[in-house]
Amino acid sequence: MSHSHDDPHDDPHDDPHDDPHDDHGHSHYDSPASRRARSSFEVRAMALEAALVENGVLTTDAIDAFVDVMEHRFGPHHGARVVAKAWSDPEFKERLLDDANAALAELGIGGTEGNVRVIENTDDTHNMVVCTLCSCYPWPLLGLPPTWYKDYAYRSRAVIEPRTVLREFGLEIDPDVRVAVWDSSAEIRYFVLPQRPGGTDGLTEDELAALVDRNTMIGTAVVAAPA
Amino acid sequence: MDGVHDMGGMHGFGAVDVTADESSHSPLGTRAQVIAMLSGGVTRAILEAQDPAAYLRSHYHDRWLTCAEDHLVDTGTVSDDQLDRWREVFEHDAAAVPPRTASERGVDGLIARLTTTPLLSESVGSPFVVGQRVRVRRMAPLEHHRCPRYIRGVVGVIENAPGSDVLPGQPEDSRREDLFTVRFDSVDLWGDRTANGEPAYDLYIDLCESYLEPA
Repeated sequence: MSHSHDDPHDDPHDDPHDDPHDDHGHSHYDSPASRRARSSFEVRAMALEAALVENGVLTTDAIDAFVDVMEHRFGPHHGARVVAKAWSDPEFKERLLDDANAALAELGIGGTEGNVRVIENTDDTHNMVVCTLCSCYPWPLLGLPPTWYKDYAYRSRAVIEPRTVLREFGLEIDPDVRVAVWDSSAEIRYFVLPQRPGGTDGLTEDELAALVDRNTMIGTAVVAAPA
Repeated sequence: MDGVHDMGGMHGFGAVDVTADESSHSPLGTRAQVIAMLSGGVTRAILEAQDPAAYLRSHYHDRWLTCAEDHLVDTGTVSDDQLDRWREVFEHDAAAVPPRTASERGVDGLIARLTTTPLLSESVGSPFVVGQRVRVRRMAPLEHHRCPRYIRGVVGVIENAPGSDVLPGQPEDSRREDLFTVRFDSVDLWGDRTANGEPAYDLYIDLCESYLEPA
């Protein structure tokens, strides 16, 4: 996390909450990050939570559970596992490209914002994904989107100058390769199956998955061969 | 509505900050979004109806939080006085945290919902077929929609027909329409931009039947 304010604050309380319902070890409020000057955004967010909990509109355990799913149960480690399996198992890859949701269910991967279609990078086509209207993204496979994916520069430019945008990520697409941009405008979330790099013939699925970074599954990077 | 959120093809936002790699500007960013989603009412339609200047000035989670505050005060779910009182507490007491409660029903149902993939429904029937040329209708809808301006009036080819869905922003039990993945040639969208370092490419986007007409 990047913190814009990190002034140390004296905090005399070891345990800031002693409510009997407090049985969660993973709330944001337990972390050292909360022991610093709060931004106005954070003050507002906490105030809204407090008011909603006070009025019985929300319960803390539901908020904690939802955050936990978004930040921990979903994530790019799932996407990397899927890519590694597709590279290793041609029949799984065929099922993944044909009906991604069924293939992902085999691995126990699924969830909200997770109605997925997998698009494959080939020698002829390089795919990249954007959401020009907001920031739709395959949460179960990749977790929450990076800030650049939600920023206006990427949302506005990916559909009109994709190669220029990719160059900003350090990626130069060969002139003979056709670029395909996928604008996620409805309830289908697009996931890029990157190309398997050379020099990886003997690797296990776990070793392959370790090569697969998040951006390669959005299409703003390609998977590099192991050093 | 055709708001400032509809950014595809706009100029002026500068280079992509590829180092902005985190998912949130703040440790509480995701939590604020979750609170907005769980408390109901903050929809894409509300996010898009935000004042355009405020939309552009604020970061992603701030937009969610601002819309949640406005909506929940407007509906009487919380009050301005209540928010002010809590802000005062959290501003001045570094040890203070929101009250903690637990649901009597537990959270298994919520987790089950969040980890269930929402699939499209089967086709409800449509005059359009895969391979057909279609034009995106000219339109200026005041209600929420998912048809960006940059494709309107342009002809593309239906590449896939994945099923049907309710129209954007409508309740789950509303009328369904078939959805189509349409492929456009970039030259039809923007003209030939080879001289700008952008040889022709393909643009794919999902559009519901009522956004399309035969070409």
